[in-house]
Amino acid sequence: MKKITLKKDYSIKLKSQITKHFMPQYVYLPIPKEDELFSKIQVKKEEKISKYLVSPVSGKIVGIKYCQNALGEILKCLTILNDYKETYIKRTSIRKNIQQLSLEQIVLELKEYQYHEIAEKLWQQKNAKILILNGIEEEPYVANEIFCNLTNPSIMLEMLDALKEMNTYEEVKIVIKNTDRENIEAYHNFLGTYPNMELVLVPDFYLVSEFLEDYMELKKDYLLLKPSELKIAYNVLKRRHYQTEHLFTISGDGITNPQMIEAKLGSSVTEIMQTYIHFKKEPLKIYINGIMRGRITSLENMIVTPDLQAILIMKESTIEEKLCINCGKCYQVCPKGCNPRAYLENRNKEAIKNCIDCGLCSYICPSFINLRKEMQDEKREE
Amino acid sequence: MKREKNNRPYLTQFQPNEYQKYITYSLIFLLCYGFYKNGLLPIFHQDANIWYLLKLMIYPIGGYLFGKISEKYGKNQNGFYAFYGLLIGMSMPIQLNWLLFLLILGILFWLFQIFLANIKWFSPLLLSRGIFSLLIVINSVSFLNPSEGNQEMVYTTLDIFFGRSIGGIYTTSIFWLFITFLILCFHDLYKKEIPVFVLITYIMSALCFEIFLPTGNLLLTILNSSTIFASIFLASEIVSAPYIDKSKWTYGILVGFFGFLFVRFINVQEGIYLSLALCSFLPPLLDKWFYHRQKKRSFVDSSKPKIPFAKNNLPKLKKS
Repeated sequence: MKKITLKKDYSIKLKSQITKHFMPQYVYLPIPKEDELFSKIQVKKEEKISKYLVSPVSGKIVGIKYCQNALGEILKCLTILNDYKETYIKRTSIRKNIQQLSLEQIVLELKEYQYHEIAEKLWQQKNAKILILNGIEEEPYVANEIFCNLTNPSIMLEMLDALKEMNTYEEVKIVIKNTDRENIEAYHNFLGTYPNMELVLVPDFYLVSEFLEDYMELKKDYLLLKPSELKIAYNVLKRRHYQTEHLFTISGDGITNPQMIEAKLGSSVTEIMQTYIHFKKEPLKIYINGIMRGRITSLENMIVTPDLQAILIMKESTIEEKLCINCGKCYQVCPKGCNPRAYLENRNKEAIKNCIDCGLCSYICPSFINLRKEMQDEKREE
Repeated sequence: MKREKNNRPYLTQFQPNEYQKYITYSLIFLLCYGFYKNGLLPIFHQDANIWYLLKLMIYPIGGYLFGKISEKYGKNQNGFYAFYGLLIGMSMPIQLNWLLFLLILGILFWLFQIFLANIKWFSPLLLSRGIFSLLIVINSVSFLNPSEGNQEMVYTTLDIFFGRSIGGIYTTSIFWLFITFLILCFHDLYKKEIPVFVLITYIMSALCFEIFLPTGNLLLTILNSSTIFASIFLASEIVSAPYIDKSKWTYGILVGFFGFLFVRFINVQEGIYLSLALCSFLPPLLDKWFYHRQKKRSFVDSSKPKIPFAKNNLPKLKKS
């Protein structure tokens, strides 16, 4: 596979500080189908309204509304009117020493707080020998993991140290791209107090996290964790808090002030855009969750959910597709050995069986053929 | 294939039409030298026709025009490929009436693309190449005629239209051909492995044959500018050449080997074109063969056994 460094517009720079949107007027919580509603009207912050629903704000339940999440699904949502008091149900004390917990206790507690994916990851790789913090953000113009890392390096290191103590990890590595200057400086300041941890710099190739084994020459089993996952685990284990806020990126060349936003879960995206973002007066297109792997959509009735990674507002650029010239670049760059060229010629589904929807084939095509869209249409038909 | 306006993201790797322009610009040194040596000088000495100078512009201008027409009206492939096939035919000594030749070719392509295009295993490109190669082979059977193998007497179709010249334009200087090749190597789309393998195989075959069947003019065989020109520009033509690395190497070796055989035993100037025509049906077959082999290997290498998450393995939650 040929390694590609994506061309970026370096004039799109994110603000160095995170904008906090903690006082939304309404909050919309998606109701899982199997959930039964608790018959309460007044709710407090982090109160369990039902088996799966936790309120991020204190206020009053006023009704039901249909909203859209980042994946485009229309969900039935519970509407809560914020009273701006932030009254908690119960203040819990901070757990002083996480190292005293065993891995089983951590996994059970994460499951209790409904963070099943992180719990499963920790349990599946319990015999791993290397613990890796993956501070790489693959999508261009998106910086969620980078900012999570940058604003909480002490939390990351404390959690890594705790995990190392409670399990049989022989090595702990923190992986960052060599172009992420701010994180490199931040970690260099803190790593002195954790001599058992190592900072590893990888080159700025797209999907470099898929090839970490090659770059780092890993010979043993490893556990890969993201900074956002570690932060959730920290909030659960140390502070015994649910995740009520979510960090995502709003960026692109269609706005004058790209920035990171930390907003309450369930907030209206339209409200955030109207309050904080200045649009340029040109035809624009909105991409959700990135340019390479995201999709074009509208923000109507969209709410902040954990699936939302980024909103990219780009100037509209239409390019006419040309005929395939048989250069084979799509095959050369595919990380999973798919052959979009063979698929285009014969509609051979076997050729794109392992497609991970990375978007490199569409990016690299000199004829501007939207190969990713062709393969997505094929998968939808199946 | 559908063609639609496509909202591409901001990131762009290539610019449109860049590759065709790059080829044209890379020919500048070669053209200038060829213009002078085999164009202007013979005209000043009244040995050549001024229309001959148009011959050198056929490859870039003709390819560009065919490309534009096929983009507007064509179905599946870049028209540059069709023009490349035409150029090969026109560079060979004329035996059949070439208009009839092209007409038969066109009708057959049209018939087969309409009636057989829906069958899964059928590739229009594969069949068109097969028919084309067959017709070239039929056309070249008369190479057995010694008069037509004589370089001084034989005429190609291009010569009929633009006049016979003493030397080529693109093939005037091996040095400038290599400089052009080096310039082309800097472009990402250029399939540089193919000319390298063609020329290495050609030279190795020439050396081996010289040991067993010496002719005394090894240098003349090796420094054959037609072969070098054809391997740099025609063998590596982007649409018709293979795209998988191993199939490029195999294609290069086969073209180089057959090219040498035809140059040595049939015709010095046109032998490589005959080899290209015969091997032109190989690229899609080679691509399919090597892709299936690579696919099997990547499955074996990348598959790792996954530990299934069994809920029963978790300890029970203790009530506080």
